[in-house]
Amino acid sequence: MKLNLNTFIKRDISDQEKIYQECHRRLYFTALRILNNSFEAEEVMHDTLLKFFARDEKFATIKERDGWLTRVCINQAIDTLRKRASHEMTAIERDLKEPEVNEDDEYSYKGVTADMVKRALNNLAAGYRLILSLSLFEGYDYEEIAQITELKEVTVRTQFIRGKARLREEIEKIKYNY
Amino acid sequence: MDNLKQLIEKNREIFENEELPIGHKERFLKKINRKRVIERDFFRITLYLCAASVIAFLIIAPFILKDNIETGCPEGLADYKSVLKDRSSEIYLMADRLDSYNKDVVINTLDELVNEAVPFEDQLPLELDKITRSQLSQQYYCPKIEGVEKLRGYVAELLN
Repeated sequence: MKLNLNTFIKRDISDQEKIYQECHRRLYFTALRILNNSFEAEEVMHDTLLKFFARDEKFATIKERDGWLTRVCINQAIDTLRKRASHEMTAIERDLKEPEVNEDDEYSYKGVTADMVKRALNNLAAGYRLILSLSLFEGYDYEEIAQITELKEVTVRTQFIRGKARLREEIEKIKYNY
Repeated sequence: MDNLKQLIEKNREIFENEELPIGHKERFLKKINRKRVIERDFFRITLYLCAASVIAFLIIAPFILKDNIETGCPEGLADYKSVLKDRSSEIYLMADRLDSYNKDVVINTLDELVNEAVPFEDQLPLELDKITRSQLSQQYYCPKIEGVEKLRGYVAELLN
């Protein structure tokens, strides 16, 4: 009898393609929001799924699986971000020394479109984009973001407030140019 | 929920409406196939190595087992000496029941076989490695054990 190794491998190819179809967009946009670079976002999305298939993790629910994938994707994206010798991170450090900005919940976002917010987010420094993205799009609270980013909770809060202030400034600029 | 979060929630699809880079799936399939080939090769090599080890063992085992079964030769220096000591005591006791001539012949033969003025292992050069020392000891002691066994058989025949 000939031992056909491909039978073992082919069995899970369709499962892997199915999971790829289900998850790739979400993972890609999660990575893209953090990295603001489509090439790196694709790499992170691929690496996340390869890691998932290699580990063959079993999850009770799809929600748990998606949670695991998102977390791995975010961690990979943060690693990529850290590997960049980025002037953006230096900008964040400089920004943190600036005086405190109060959270302005009164800003109405009237006349602001989703496209404007998207463009404004892309203009932000990497650190602000990361914190805002984890909070506004992924739904993590300050404590969870602090764990993910290995920052202090108070730093996360400060960066979130500053990030939002910067975002509003960027939105105003975009509105003005419309 | 703040205004910004509401705006994002309401327009989530607009934030994720961009086209992904062309060929992303093909590139992923290429990566996963490359990984699969590496895993398959690793699996194959492991399988071949296991099979080769089993075949090698099956070829060598009969020779090793045959030698040990035929001579009843144990392994290890302590074992050789212990077997020789046991057999010698046995032969001394059996020889006591023989006439004086045969007893002298048997005891002299036994002494020649067993007695060592300088233990064999002390005669070996120090620079020899452990495996070589073990092989040489086996080659030295196993014929001795075989000889003692034959002598015991001879004494048993004389007693009958």
